[in-house]
Amino acid sequence: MRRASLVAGIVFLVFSLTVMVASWSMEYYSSIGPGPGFFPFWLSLALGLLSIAWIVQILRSAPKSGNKSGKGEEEERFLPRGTAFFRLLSIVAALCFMIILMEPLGFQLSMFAFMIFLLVILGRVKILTTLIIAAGSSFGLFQVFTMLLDVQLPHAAIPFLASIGL
Amino acid sequence: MDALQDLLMGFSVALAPGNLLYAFLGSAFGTLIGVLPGIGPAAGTALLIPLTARLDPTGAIIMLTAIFYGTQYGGTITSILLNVPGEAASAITCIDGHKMALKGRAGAALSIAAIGSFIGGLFATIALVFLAGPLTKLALEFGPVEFFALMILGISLMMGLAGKSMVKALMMGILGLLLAMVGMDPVRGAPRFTFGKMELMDGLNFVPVIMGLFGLSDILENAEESLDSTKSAEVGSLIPSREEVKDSVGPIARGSIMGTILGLIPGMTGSMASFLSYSTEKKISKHPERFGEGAVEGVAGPETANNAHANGALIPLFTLGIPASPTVAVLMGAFLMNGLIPGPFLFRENPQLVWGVIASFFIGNVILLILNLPLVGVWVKMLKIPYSILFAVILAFMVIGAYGVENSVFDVFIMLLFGVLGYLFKKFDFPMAPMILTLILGPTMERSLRRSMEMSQGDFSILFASPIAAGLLIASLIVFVTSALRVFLGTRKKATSGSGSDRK
Repeated sequence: MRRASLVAGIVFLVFSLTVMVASWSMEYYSSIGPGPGFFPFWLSLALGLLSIAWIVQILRSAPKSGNKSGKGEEEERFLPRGTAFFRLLSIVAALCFMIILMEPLGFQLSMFAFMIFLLVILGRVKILTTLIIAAGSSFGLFQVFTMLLDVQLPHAAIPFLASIGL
Repeated sequence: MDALQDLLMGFSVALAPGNLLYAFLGSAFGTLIGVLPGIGPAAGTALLIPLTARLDPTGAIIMLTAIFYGTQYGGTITSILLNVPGEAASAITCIDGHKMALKGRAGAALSIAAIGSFIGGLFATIALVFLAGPLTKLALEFGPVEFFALMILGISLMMGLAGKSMVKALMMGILGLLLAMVGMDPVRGAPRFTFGKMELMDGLNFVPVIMGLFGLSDILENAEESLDSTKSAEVGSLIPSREEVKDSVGPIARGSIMGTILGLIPGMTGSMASFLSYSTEKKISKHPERFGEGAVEGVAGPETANNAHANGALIPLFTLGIPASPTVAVLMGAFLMNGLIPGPFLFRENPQLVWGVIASFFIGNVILLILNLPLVGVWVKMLKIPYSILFAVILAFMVIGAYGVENSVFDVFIMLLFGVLGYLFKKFDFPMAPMILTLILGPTMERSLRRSMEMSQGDFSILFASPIAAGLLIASLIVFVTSALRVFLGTRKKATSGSGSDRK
C-alpha cells in the first residue's frame, strides 16, 4: 500500500508538472487582466506542492513496524488478486470492447454481446435468464430510448447490419 | 406575504398534469436508486439526466430534484430490511433499524422513517420558501468579486471538514478545477488541454465523469467480492405502536431542524446530518442503553435529518447558486445544461420555474410518502433481484446514459476512464466530493475571478476592497487555518505518543 501510494504521489507530481509546462504556452496575462494560462499555471503549481507534501507524509509514516522490508504477507494488498482481480479486469475490458464495437456493430449487437459476457462469465446467471435480460437491455432498451425518449443510440456502421435494422 | 403568493403561483405550475407526472417519475426513480445498493444518489441523478434532456426545463428540474430527495427515502428500506445501506446517509439507520426488523418491527421502523422523512423534507422546504426572499435580496448585492469569495468559502468549508485527509481533499479540489479548465476558456475562448479533440472543445462533460467516479467505481469495487445476493427480513405490520410514535416525536422535531441547518452549510453531507442526529438522540435519551438494540429514536432522528438535509441543501443552490454537496452539484450541472444559472437572478428572470420547482417539493414529498408506505412491498420485491444480474443492467444503463448526453461514444470512454480513476481514488482514500464541486463550479469561479481582475486591471486588492468579499475570504482563511492546525496538532500528538503511522 505504501509503495502504491508513493507511485500515486509521483504520478500526481508528474501530472501537475505536465500541466504547468502546457500552461506556459498559453497567454498568462493580457492587457485586460489574467489570460487563459493564468489559472492553470497557479493551480498546477499548487497541485505540485501538495503532491510533494503528500509524498513527504507517506515517507515519514514509518513502514509497518517490525516487518522485513518488502511485501510481507500481512501487508495490505493494493489490488486484489486471483478471481477478484479477474472480475475487475474483465469489467474494464468488456467496457473497452463495447466502446470499440459500438460504432461498427451498432448499439444493439455490441450491448447484447456485452451483457452475455457480464451475465454468463461474471454473474454465472442461467443461460435462459441471461438471454432474456441481454435481449431486453440491448434490443429492448434500443427501442425504448429511440422511440419513446428520443435518445438516438448508434446504428451499425457496417451496411449489411444496418440494412437489417441493427 | 410575498413568499406565499409566489408559492401559490408555483403550485399552479407544479400541479399541471405533465409536471405532476415528472414529480411522480422522479420520486419513483429516486426511491429505486435509493433501494438498489449498486448505485448512489450522485451517480443515479447523473444517470437520469439524459432522460430529461428532451423535457422542458421546468419538468426536467422537477424530475431531477425529486430523484435527489427520493433517494433519501429509498435508502432506508435496505438499511432496515437487509442491514445494507442503500446510500451513505442511511448507513446509521442500519444499527437500530435492522435490530427492529429482527424483532419483527420492520414495518413500524419503515413507517416511522417515512413519516420522519416526510416531515423533515416539508420543514426544510418551508424554510426554503421563507429564506428565498431575504437570501436572494442579499445575493443580488453581490458582484463577481463577492461571488468568487463566496465560492471560495464554500470550497474551504468542504476541505476543512475533510479532517485528517486535508491534503488529499485539497489535491482533489484542485484536480477538479484543472479538469474544469478543459475546453474553451470562459473569457477569451482560447482552447485549453483539448489535445486537438473536437469532443473536448466544450469541456469535459460532467455526466460521464460523475457516473464514472461514483457509479462505475462502485461496481468495480463490488466486483472484488463475490456477487452473492442477500436475504431480506419480513416487513410485517406497518402500523407503529403508540409507544413508538410517542418516542419518535422529539427525534423527528430535532432532526428536522438539525438537518435543515446542516443543509445550508456547504460541505456538510447527508451522512453527517444523520450521524449527528443519531449521536444527539443517544446523548439526550433517558435510556441510552436501548440504542443499538432496536430503539425507534435511532431510526426516526437520522432518517428525518437526512431528508431535511436533502431539501435544505437546495436552499443555497437556489438562492446563491452554490452547491453544498456532490449530488447538489450534479443538480447544478443539470440546471446549467438546461441553460439556467441557479442563483438570485433565476428568481427574477424565471420565477415560474423556480417557484414551480419549489412547490413540486411539497408534492414530491407527498408522493414519496405514498410510495414508501402502502407500496413498500413493491420495493421489497426489487431487492430480490440478485446483484449478479443487477450490476450488468446498471452497467447497460450507464453506457446509455453516458452516450445519450451528447450522442457520443467518446463520453462512454470518459466514463470508463473516470470509473477506473474513481476506483483508484477510493483505494487511496481520496475524497471525491471536493473534486465534483470544483469541477462544476470551476468555470463560474474562473469567470468571476477574471472579471474582477478586469475591473481592477489586474490589481488583486479588489478582492478585499468590498467588505462582504473581504469578510467571506477572511472566514475561508479562518476555516482553513483552524482545520489545518487541528490536523497538524493532531498528528503531532500522535507522533509524540508513540506509534507514528495513522494509516492502516
